[in-house]
Amino acid sequence: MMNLKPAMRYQARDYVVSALIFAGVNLLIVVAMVAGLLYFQVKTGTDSISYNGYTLSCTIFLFIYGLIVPRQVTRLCAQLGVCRRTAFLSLFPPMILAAFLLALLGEGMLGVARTVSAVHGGPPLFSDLFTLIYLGDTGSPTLVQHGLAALFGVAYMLAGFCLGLFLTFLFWRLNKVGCIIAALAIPVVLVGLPALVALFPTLFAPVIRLAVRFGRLWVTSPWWAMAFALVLALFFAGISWLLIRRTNIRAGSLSK
Amino acid sequence: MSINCQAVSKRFGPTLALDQVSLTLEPGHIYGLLGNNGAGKSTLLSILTDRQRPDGGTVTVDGLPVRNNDAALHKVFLVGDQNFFPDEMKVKRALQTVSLFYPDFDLEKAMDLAKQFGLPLKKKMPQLSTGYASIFRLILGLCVNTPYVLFDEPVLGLDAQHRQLFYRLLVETFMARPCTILVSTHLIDEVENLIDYTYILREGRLLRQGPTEELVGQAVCLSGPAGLVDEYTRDKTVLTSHSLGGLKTVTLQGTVEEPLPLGLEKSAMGLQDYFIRLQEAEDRAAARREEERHDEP
Amino acid sequence: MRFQEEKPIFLQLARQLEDGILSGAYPEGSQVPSITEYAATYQINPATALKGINQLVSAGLLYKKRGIGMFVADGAQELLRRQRSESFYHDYVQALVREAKGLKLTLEELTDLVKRGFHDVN
Repeated sequence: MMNLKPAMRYQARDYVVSALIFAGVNLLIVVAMVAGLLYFQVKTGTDSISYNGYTLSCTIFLFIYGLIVPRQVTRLCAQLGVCRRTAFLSLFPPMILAAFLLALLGEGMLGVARTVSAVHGGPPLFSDLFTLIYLGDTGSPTLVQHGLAALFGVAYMLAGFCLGLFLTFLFWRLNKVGCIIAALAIPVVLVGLPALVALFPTLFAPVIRLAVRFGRLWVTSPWWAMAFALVLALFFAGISWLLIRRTNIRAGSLSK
Repeated sequence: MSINCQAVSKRFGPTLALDQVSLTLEPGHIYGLLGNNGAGKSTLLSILTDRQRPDGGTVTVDGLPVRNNDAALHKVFLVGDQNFFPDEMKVKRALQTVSLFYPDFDLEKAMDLAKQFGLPLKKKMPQLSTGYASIFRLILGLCVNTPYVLFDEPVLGLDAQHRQLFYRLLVETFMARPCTILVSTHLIDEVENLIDYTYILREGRLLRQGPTEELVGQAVCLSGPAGLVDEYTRDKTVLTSHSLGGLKTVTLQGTVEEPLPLGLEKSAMGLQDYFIRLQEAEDRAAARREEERHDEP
Repeated sequence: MRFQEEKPIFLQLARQLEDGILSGAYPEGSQVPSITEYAATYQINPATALKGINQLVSAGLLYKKRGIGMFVADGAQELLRRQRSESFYHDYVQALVREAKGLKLTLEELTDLVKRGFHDVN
């Protein structure tokens, strides 16, 4: 019998509060922009301000949570009689709840803002990753499309969280030398690999073809993109579990 | 109904921190876990609560293995010497969080104890001094109401008054409901009358164990003129010996037949004295083995 | 009360309780502290405190009222006085005489000292 409830309840409170604050801040920005549009005759156009980074910023927000929360929860659970497996599993439901909250609030906010600003005419001021890629940024999304956009957002937030989770457990597990090597390896791989591919196009021709095929699928099928995000999430979560399952749980360096 | 630890071993790189340690903790006892620094006490307690995984052996709580088992882990509360609460958390919120995980946690009692000790409720965990960090954790142990409560160096940094208050509260908590308590400490003389069963750990191995009365009764302190003492102890196991002028004091393993030859005096030993003499004897034995190894070609 | 290492704790506790009864600090019919109070105050294991109390119970000096606690039995003071008087010879007189003989005191000198003691000590 797994004692999941206390750990989830403990996290849910913080997540919901933070998600509401985060969405609230974004709401203020959107309201300010709408007010500017309606009351101060701010000109829209290709070189004026626009709002379209909501999903990305939510993903980064949850990535950061993925960096911070897992160690805290694992330690707290270790002190309070909850095994690491339950602690690990408890990380996901509250986080997914927060992701849904953020995604749905975002969609609602953007839908209203679009409608209001469309009255004004001109290119849309408010958009998001999903609308930009899959809806061609024309017209107002239907309710179904809003739902799809929300799911898309949740999938990528989940992937962002799991990436953070993986990194934090990786550095928890590695000793000092390992951490330095890993920290250096990440930018080297991220920059070096594409650079290599660019320098030797003929050598990497099949890889490039695959990447292009993949890219095309990604921009045409939101389901494919969501599946990709979920696969990423599962991959990072899986490795994270492998990292943590045998480790020794100790207090942090700040704590006495 | 017990915590059963069978042949537990733990290795850190080349060092064997625990070597086939077995112990049992049963209800109705206050156990003592004694040992010098590095003996493996904290490692053992971490393994009992699944914070660390052993390289060999098993740990069960009431028959359930502790590995990844919430039902088993919920019954054991470890008051360690480290803080596992988030740095941003204030003491009051921490107490409420414990309440969330342990429905039987006596929050009212915890608040009352916080007042008795003078624990500031509004401070964050890293802001507490060593003493108050210990006080916070021992309050948890006294109020959590689990069947097994393990205290690892609970009075680190506490002044004498607070230490006494803790021991008093420990007895009251122990008597309030059936439970099992274990105390691991360096301050042996303060707890020697409290613990009724003692485990002594040395370099990862269980050196001695038994009811405290028996253990302490196993050794005796004898003093008198050096010549008399030497003659009397010729056929006995001497743990330690100290000479001052013509007077010699020895610690013997075992009991002595009374009445003693005239001139020899016997005194009983407290647990701390017994522990120290035991370690000294082991140190000497280890040094002798080292010498013998060097003498071999 | 500080515990010496010579005698087992439970015996020292029993002795202290007996002294209290003898001196009238614990009058007959009054309640003595509970096991928990003894253990908590002197930082000893409750089993040890119980052993000490049980010494007095089996000697007929204390009795238990269920759900309330331990009380001093009627006639405990007199009983104790008789018990102590019997062991007085063994515990004190023999040791006194042995020490006196070691110092080469005569019976007369010892008697004079005892008379002086009766006079000086309260």
